[in-house]
Amino acid sequence: MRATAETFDLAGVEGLILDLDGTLHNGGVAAPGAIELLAWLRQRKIPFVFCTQDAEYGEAHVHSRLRAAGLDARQEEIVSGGAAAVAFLKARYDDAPIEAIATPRQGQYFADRGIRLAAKGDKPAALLLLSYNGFSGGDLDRACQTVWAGADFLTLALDRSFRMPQGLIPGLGAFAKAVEHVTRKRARVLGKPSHEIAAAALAKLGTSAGATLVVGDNLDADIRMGRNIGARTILTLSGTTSLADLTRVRPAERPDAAIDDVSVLLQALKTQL
Amino acid sequence: MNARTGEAKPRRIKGVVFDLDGTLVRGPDALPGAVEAVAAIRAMGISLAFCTQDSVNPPEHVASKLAKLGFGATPDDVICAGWFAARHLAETYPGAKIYAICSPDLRRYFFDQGVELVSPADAASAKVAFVARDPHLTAETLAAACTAIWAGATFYAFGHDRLLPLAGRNAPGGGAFVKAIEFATRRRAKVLGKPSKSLAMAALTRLGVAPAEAIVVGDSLDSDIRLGRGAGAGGVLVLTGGSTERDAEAATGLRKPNAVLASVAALPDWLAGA
Repeated sequence: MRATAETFDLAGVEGLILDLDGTLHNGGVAAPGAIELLAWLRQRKIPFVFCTQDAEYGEAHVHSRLRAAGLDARQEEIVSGGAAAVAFLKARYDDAPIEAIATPRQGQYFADRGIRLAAKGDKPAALLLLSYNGFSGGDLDRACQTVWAGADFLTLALDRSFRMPQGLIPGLGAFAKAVEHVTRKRARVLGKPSHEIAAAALAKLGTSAGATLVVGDNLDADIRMGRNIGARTILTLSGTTSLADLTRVRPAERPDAAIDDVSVLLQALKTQL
Repeated sequence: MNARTGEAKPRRIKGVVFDLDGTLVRGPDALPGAVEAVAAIRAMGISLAFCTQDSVNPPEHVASKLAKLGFGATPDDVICAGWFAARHLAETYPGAKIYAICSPDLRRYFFDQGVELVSPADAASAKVAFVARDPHLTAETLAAACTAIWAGATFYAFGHDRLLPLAGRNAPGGGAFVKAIEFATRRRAKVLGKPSKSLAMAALTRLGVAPAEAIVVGDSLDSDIRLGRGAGAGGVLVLTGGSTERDAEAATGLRKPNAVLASVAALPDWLAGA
């Protein structure tokens, strides 16, 4: 399953959708080959976008964090789960209240962008899961009661886990699965791997899905998004997914190739494009 | 309502395992007719046990609650899934470190069994991760269970219960946390509570009757009916809890009850047999 620079085919790739944490950097430190990859793509005028689940800090902060890691990013190249969620909520619910399971900073992110968060006594039109930390306190109960009362069930992500400096931690998907189990309702995902965020990324790239390569460390977010739209997919093993994990998933969930880190991708691009 | 059955009633029932919530009690109260039904069945010379998925309260608490309501239960008659699991793990993994998410009472019981429970910070050193219902669960303690499993611990849980029936409403069941950990770690928990065969055998041993001479009576197809039928006993569904007659009709395999009764009040007549 693990690929080397020679073993996967990049012919016809015209644009790239790149994940951030676990792919281009780990906790703010550039991954091996990441700085060189971006420099090479710019030099060859191959378009790319950064696709992140962020719904907490905003594009300006994500951008400055990338610059601090030495990555040559432009703010307009960032596509975020937060922006996709805001666009979806505005189009679908207008000014109806949204019940968010969120950290204070996440709540502020949505309030700052004109989303009305449910106050006491409101009847929420939708439940939106944003924070795994909802497991503390009564948030699981609140989430289930909101869905039982008829609200739409939305989640930013279905990620199983994240790699942090101290090790893996469970992802928001774990919380979403808990609510799904209790309510027997399926969550609609607004960030990766939704069609909405994929469409936003492709629109920025100006490439067709078939000529696009999605690179990321998360099977449930990055690889699934790529497969959903018919793009090619490469998994980096530098983040949340291990080679052993790959043997546990169905073939339909697997990437076209798995690489240790993006330095392998850069080598392959140099020899094939 | 009469017994509705897809299969023949097991003959000559000598032992009955009762589920509690949704079957004999709801929240703090006995269900109508339940106390009288249990007394009538006891008077028929049938041996009784009470088996609850409760993993928060010890058997002594549950027995004293049942006794106060008039069911005449002693702690020896009561099997709490969490307590059974703790003893099972202590016997299966002697001397092993265990990371457990559970209630303070169950934690003390683990200690009494000589089990070393590790803190969330030491979760990676655990050989076993066990998840039961914990009123004080946090995102951190749940993450530590994942850490233990990622580091190689064997994953056990009390069950996958969807709902926790409270007086007047449902709350999320403890199975929600088990599902969350299963999703994060891509591992399936081994269930020690209902409907595990080891729990069923413990209950049947308590009754002192052969599986074919016993029934489990409960309101859940997934927990109670499977508990009984999976161990070779019968399963009788009552409609006073989480299941409807339509659920019972749609059920197949080990979820299919041998009989469906409107409530436990109809059980003595059913046992007396037409």
